[in-house]
Amino acid sequence: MKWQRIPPFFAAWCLHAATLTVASSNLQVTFTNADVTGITNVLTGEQYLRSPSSNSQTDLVLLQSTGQQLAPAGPWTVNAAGTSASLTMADSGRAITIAVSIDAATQQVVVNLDGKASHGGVQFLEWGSTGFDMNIGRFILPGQGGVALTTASFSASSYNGFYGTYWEAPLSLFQTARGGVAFYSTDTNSLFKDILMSANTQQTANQQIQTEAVAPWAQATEAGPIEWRIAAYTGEWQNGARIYRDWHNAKFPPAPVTGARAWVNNIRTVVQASDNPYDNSTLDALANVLNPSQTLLYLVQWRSQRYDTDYPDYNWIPSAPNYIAHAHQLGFHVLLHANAMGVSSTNADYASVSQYQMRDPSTGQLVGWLWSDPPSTPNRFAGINPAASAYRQLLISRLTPAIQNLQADAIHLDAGACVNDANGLIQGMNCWQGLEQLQKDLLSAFPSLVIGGENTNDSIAPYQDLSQPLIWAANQSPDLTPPFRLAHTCSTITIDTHISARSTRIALDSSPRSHHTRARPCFRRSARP
Amino acid sequence: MLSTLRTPVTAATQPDMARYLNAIHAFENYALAPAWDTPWNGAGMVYKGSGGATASITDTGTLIQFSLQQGASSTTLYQRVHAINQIDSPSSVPNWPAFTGTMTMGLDPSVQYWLDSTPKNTSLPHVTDLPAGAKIGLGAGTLVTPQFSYFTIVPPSSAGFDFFANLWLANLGITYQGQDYPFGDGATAFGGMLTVGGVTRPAIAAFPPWMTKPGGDVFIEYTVPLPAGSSTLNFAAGMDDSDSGQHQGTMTFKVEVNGTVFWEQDLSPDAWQPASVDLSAWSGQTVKIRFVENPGPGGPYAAFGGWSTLQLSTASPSYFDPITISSTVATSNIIATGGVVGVKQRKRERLRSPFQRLCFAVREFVAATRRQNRRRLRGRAVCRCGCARAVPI
Repeated sequence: MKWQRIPPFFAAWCLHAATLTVASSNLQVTFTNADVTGITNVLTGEQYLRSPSSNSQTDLVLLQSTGQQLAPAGPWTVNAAGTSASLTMADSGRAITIAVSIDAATQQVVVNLDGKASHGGVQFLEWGSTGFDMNIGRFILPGQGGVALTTASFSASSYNGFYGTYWEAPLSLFQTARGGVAFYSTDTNSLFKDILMSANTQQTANQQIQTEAVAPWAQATEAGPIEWRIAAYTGEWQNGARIYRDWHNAKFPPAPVTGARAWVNNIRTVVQASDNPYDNSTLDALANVLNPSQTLLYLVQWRSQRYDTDYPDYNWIPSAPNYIAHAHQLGFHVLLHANAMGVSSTNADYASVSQYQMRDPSTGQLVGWLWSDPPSTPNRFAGINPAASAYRQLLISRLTPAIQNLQADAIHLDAGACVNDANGLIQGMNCWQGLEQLQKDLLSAFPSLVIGGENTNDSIAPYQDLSQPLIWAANQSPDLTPPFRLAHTCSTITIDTHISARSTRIALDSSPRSHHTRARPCFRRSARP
Repeated sequence: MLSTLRTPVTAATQPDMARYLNAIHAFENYALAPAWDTPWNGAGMVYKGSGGATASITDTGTLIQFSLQQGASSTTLYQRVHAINQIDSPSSVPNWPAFTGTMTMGLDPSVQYWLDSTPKNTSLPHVTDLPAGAKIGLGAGTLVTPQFSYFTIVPPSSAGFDFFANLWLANLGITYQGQDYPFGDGATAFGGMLTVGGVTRPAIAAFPPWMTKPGGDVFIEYTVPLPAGSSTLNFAAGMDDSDSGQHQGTMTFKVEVNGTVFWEQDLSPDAWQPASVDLSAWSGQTVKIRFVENPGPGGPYAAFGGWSTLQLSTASPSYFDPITISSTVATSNIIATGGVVGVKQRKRERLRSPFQRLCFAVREFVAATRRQNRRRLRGRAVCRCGCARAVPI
């Protein structure tokens, strides 16, 4: 075993059969097969992993198992240029390639992964790190509004998973007293990604990252390719989060909140208007205790149809126009609730977009809200993939009268929980990309409109001015509290959104309660030195 | 992050709303926004605002505080206490019925409480002395009104130790020739299902080392805080049925406390062997309980063995003497019924003779006990009539 130092002397490799250690000026990472089994933060002198599991964290999971275990097809090898080391893990029907290099500019370790199978049925590609020393650190994740996983978290539950919309940015931080290590993805294809944290022995934990194959899985032969980066930092967790935020801001600049949209920068409070019918006197009372110009009124029950029924009917109740006009007179701004993907099967519009109703990636079953309930269920609706331009045009056409006549300042796009749609890519886009395009289309049609969403992630955040974190989901699982320190600000700093209008509870700090967040200005401000 | 309200807004003078609006007005007046790019120095959240104002949310571990700083001055926007049973502060927990002028007591450490600068309400009956660790069962029956007061006193938690949940926190290792080594050499330990004598149970299972150090021990060592009072470790040990063909004879199982063996037995895979270890000698202390498996007489190669029905049972001492309650009623009318203190002021005032008062007290005792049983409280009756002291206000 010997070290090779590669010009221009920013990386060093140490290869020993199935083990690779790569060192930059910031960190040293050891791979056993494809798993990360050692991390040293050179900046702080800390080692983060110990007692790694002997169980492989790397796999290509198929709908039907091959019954075999992936094994190295050969030793780690460095390419001729000395810039990258690679390994292939394979069995008779699957192969995962992993290539490791150093980014000279950032001194980050760059890991490129790809998983392929000889037949369809690929679900996802797993890759992980094992042995995080929970005695010296904690995980901080932009998941479910922001969580910190500590020893108490793993005592209460030996397994914590964040899937799909519950992982709001492909970032994880392992934070100690002196610094930490960040894992983040530079994926620009909005691939569906999940992160799973599990307890290991000896008070250590494993991190497993999943990259889902593009559905339908039955036909999928590949998961990936995808790039992950490992970065060391010193100081507080915010320093680690900024690594990803700055990359994301540079790659996906947020839509400007200037001109007619600049008012949202001034908002400090969101008030859900719950009176029904709307009563102007409640606005007068509200204006006595809050500054209207800093207050956003969130109207949920403004439609003539009951909540969550008969989408995309966006006609309004009689009291709405006068109420909104009075709100504007007092200086309030108004946010109207809408549904990003919902079309009721009983609505006449359903027929024209039913072909785009999303399907489960594994079973191909249609998905929607309460979809397994009888069709007569009033608040049952289909989830239509916004990647379909026909649907986006339909939704905008149905929203336009309301936006124009009611003079809405903002639209809240509820139920933005995308599915890895078994219909496959629609017009070259998956659901997240479609939702992003819907936001763009709305902004194109209404340049003054401010856009909010029920949840958020790295794909849709650039065009989201307000969002509602999925903290409520965790709140519904009391077993997760206190191990999950909910509403960790990590989610906000990294993907920069968040409003919530489900709770009236007081929540200004990171206690386990819902809260509104408007992070776009923070995101943007930080992007502009 | 934006604060949230719902219309119609309740009276702005209502304490919870007033506290909330006070914080919101700080956000409005100083345009506070998260300070993502300045050091937080361990704070939970830091805001920057207009005119150089800053605000921060800090947590000392027992006190969460949201403070606004303007120049040299600092204003507390709100405070909450948590992870604490008593707090030395003249500030008040709204509507909390256990306090003195400088202390609030009987708090549940798992709950967060607002701490306000508003004066404590001494006009209502309230507990003025309570043993450390005892909690006021607010939400479990305690109710204080000018006409009627009912206190539920919850003894200090005697919740057992969860050996399964704490497995990953346990010290796992192997012992060879009297020397402890890190976990390895083929040794295994996990929480799962184990079948012994045909009976499958959730168990902490382990397999002794077999690669280079066959014949050594595998151990699972927990650090266990024991409550005051007598404690007993109950468990059952056994050797997995599936390994009976590979391992000859019995395996040795041991339980050590602070390095001393208190239970040891050679077991075959016939049945789960129930056993217990008295831990009363370590009342109130933190001990190291080590579960050990060795190939034993049938070695050096081992089999899977395990530990099931792990339970730490505790008999807590009495906690309810003294409990002091401030009241305008006579001492003889205070009833303490083992964690339940009932005071019916006006009704009792009409009871004239001592006999009438005694009968009433007995009826109240019975009623309170029934209520207590209904709520499945575990408070024990440790006081009789008159043992609690009434302090004139």
